Amino acid sequence: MIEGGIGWVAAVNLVIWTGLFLYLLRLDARVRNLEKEE
Amino acid sequence: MSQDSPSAHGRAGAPPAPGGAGGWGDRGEIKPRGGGWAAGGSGLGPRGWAWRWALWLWIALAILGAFFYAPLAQDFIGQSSRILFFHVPMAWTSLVAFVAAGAWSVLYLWKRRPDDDRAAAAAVELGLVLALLATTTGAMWAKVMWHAWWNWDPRQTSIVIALVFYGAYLVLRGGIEDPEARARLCAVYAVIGLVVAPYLYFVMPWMAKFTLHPKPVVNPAGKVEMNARMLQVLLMSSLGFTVFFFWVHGLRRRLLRLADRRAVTAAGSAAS
Repeated sequence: MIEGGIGWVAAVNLVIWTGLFLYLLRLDARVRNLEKEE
Repeated sequence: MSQDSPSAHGRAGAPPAPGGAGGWGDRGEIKPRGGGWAAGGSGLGPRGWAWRWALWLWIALAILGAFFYAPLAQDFIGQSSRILFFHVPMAWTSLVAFVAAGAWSVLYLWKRRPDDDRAAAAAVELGLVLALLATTTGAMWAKVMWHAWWNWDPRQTSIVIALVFYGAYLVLRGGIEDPEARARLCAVYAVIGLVVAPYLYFVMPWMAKFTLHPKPVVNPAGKVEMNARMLQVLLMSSLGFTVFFFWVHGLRRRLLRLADRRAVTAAGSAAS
């Protein structure tokens, strides 16, 4: 067990970053598709 | 030319010719890149995928480094020093955003390309978000170290002034209907920011005779006073945040351009 549950804090940070990253990847793809439609 | 762009940054005015050459919905086009790799999907090329996933890995490693590689700073309560690896890069990237907004504004005043105006607006928006996050993480740290969320420390005060200054930029954008006048005035404002932002981030805290804030990473003599591992993670995180900013900025800029084009087309349809 890592002191003070710091491992959990790191895990939450990683989950938030991964979620944000995947959202932005999807947004990137949508913007690209919209640009192609124009 | 008086074509309007009732985008998220402005309001509708006189109906323009839809998609007319040289118009606000047309000039400064950002062409989609990539050649349909991952068929039917994002249209990103292998390079596009590679650098984006490299950025994910880079920041993931910075997060792991912040929690498991960097040692705790001396004289800090508990684990509170770990927030440094997020707080400082956020503040740094907000400064990058504000300076970039000023640079794009100079370009706008020089070349009069609407895309430079959109780029400046997107940079200010993101800079505000990052400055707000830096302020929030700073307040969290202050609660642990100084037992109060807010202390009017010189650095806290200067970032609040920066938030107000750049918040006023967005108010200015929302308050002018004519797109060219809006772009011109906002560009002048953001160019003034090229002096104001560095003053608020560096000079004002330096001039203050008393601060509760930890010493800057680079001291006045130009020497770096930080544990090597902490410095590695801090630099890694700062670089990651900077690249992340330019990625999100590109997205926001393209969205603004799409919004402008749609508004121009809609206004043209309504007029005819």
